[in-house]
Amino acid sequence: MVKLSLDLDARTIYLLLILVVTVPVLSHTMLPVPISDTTKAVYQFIENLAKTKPNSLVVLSFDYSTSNVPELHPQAIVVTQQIFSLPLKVIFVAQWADGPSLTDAVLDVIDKGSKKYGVDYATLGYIPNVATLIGMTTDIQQFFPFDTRGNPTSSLQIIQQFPAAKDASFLMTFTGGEPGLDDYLQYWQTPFKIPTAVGATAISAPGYMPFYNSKQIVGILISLRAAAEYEFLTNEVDLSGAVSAMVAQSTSLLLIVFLVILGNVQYFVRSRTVRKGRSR
Amino acid sequence: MSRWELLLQVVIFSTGFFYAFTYYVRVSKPIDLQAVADSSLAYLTALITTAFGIGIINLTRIHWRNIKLKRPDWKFSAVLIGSLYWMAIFSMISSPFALDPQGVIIPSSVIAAIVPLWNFLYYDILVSINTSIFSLLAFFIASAAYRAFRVRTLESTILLTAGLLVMIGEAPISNLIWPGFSAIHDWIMFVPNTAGQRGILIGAALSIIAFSVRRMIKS
Amino acid sequence: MDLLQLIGIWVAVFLTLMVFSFLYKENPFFRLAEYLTVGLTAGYSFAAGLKIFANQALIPILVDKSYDFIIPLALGAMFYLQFSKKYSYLYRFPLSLAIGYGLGVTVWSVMQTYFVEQISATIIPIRAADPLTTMNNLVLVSGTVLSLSYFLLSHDQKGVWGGFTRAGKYFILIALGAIFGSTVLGRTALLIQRIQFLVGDPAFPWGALNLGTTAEGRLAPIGGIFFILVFGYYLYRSRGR
Repeated sequence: MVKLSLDLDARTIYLLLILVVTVPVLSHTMLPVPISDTTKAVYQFIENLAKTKPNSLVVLSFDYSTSNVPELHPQAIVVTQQIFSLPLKVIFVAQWADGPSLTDAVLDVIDKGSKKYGVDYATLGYIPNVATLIGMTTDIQQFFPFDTRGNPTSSLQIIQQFPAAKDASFLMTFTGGEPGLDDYLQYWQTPFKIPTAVGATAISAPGYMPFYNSKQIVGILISLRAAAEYEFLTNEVDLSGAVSAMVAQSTSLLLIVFLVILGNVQYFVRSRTVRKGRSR
Repeated sequence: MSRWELLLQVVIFSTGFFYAFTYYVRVSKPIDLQAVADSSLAYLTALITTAFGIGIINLTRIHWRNIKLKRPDWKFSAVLIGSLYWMAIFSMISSPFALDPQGVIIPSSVIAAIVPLWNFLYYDILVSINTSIFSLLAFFIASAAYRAFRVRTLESTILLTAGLLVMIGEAPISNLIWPGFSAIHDWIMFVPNTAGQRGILIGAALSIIAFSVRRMIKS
Repeated sequence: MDLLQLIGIWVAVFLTLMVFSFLYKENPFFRLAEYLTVGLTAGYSFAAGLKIFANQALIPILVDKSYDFIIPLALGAMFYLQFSKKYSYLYRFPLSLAIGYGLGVTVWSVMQTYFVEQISATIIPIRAADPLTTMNNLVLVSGTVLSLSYFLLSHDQKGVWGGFTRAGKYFILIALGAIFGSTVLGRTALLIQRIQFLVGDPAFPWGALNLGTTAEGRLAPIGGIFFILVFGYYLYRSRGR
């Protein structure tokens, strides 16, 4: 009879998890990451937009807080870098209060090329409620009299060129929950048919699949892995450190799969032993 | 229902009905209702944003009482109050929400001096603690994977099988072991998951609409 | 190398390990981190709210001379009456305006976005050019209808109807399983970035989080050593308690 006496204490499991993450991180091994359809869709849409409608308006919305930084910040970095390397104009907004700070952090590290603030891009700041979200689709200046740097939005060339958010040719929201994609779908995409994509946390991504299937969104970036895929697509490997994390991602996921299987095997063996003991 | 509650209900109904009505029915004469609805958004925003101080007042009341009465953990309450007000002051001077970012009233030298302090509070402290607290969940999920996720019934078998196949498919290394894992993962996400999520979505939408209408006409 | 930036990184490492110390056992270091994060978040949110209030309510009155904004400002001020014992009931008036607006907008937005669009996407031709797509379309359409049937509670879920709802339940369970699998991906990603930070990995986006340069980041583990010493001393002093 097989006796399975390996009973893992919680702290042992924690140590195992730290080990399977730390060793790959320290080894700096890189792994080729297969590109998923949802990530490729976002990348190709942006590339095509720059070719078919150059100098059109893109709205990037940083709808996440400091707790979602590991999953969404790398996505934001690589997508923003891609857009800044293309002939597109960008407005940065946020439905979460942390968004403007995280936007500034991304803008500090990316290569802006020849893009000038106020002409090619602007940071409008925080959208505090649904009324502002709806109102800015028709008049940005009324709801954002100043940008985050204190400039009157009426003086910004990009706002003079695109006075209403409904003029946008593409919207991308990096969202950690509510408010986020759902609000943009309801108040921007549905009434004005603005092509929308989402950078999502892993927990939200399955819930956004119906929108991808119904073509309400053009693509989904799912967690840190999508940032790694995007780095390969844009040839900016490890711009956000995502590719380096993929081996650790694999080992940690496989450890959890192993723990589930081990736990269930032990459970079945124990219940069989108990049942045999009762039947005697 | 008292008269006050009746008045509130009338306010809820009339506001809600107005915004729902103006979306579906275009009325331009004698009054352009759509334009009225659009222009009222600015007033509504002004009204809602006036409530910005409620949270800080509540927190201060609760934790100041803790400090005054020397309740257990009162020292932590002192840390909370201190960090709250310092962060508020620094953020008002130097952050994306600075009240005077161009240094018209506040001297630029003061703003420049506060920048590294704000960066320290926000990026070094707040971001670090928040991401760390959420990363603890990885440990708890690993522990739960071993202790709690049991295949006892058909339902749990289906749930766990789908979960395991999605997990394996998401590990980039699984594609090197067998490309079929990625294909299975994609199929689960794009087909049965989409079907199930869509059913939940439509069901939830029906509930939201029903609740909204019921709340508006509550008798 | 900026010494102040380096000290900031060490403090960040120390705070990270303060949070992780909860895995060993509940302790005052973790509680301190908790209270600190609540205070900082509340302070930051207050500043955000004040700025928005200034932009949306004060500037129209003081700069644009639109004195009609005084009315919503006065109504919004009624929110603060909740702290008064005598007049606290009045705060429900501006709340009712906000609720009414939200309900009215929800009726059309949810109807269109979740209801109409999703149902339209379900009404698709099942038969396609290749058998795999045909099968997928069949599973998608039937799965949607069956999982929706699970929420229709006006009939007893027995007999033939019970069979339909049970099948719907299985589709919902697959969706929940997919969420569970994805959740694990997300949580491990959070941990991986923290470990990258703690070991001073050059791949960690130091600059993108205003944590200094890669060179400064390499010295991050020194903060960890300091924490181990402090926490070890705390455990030594508290042993036997």
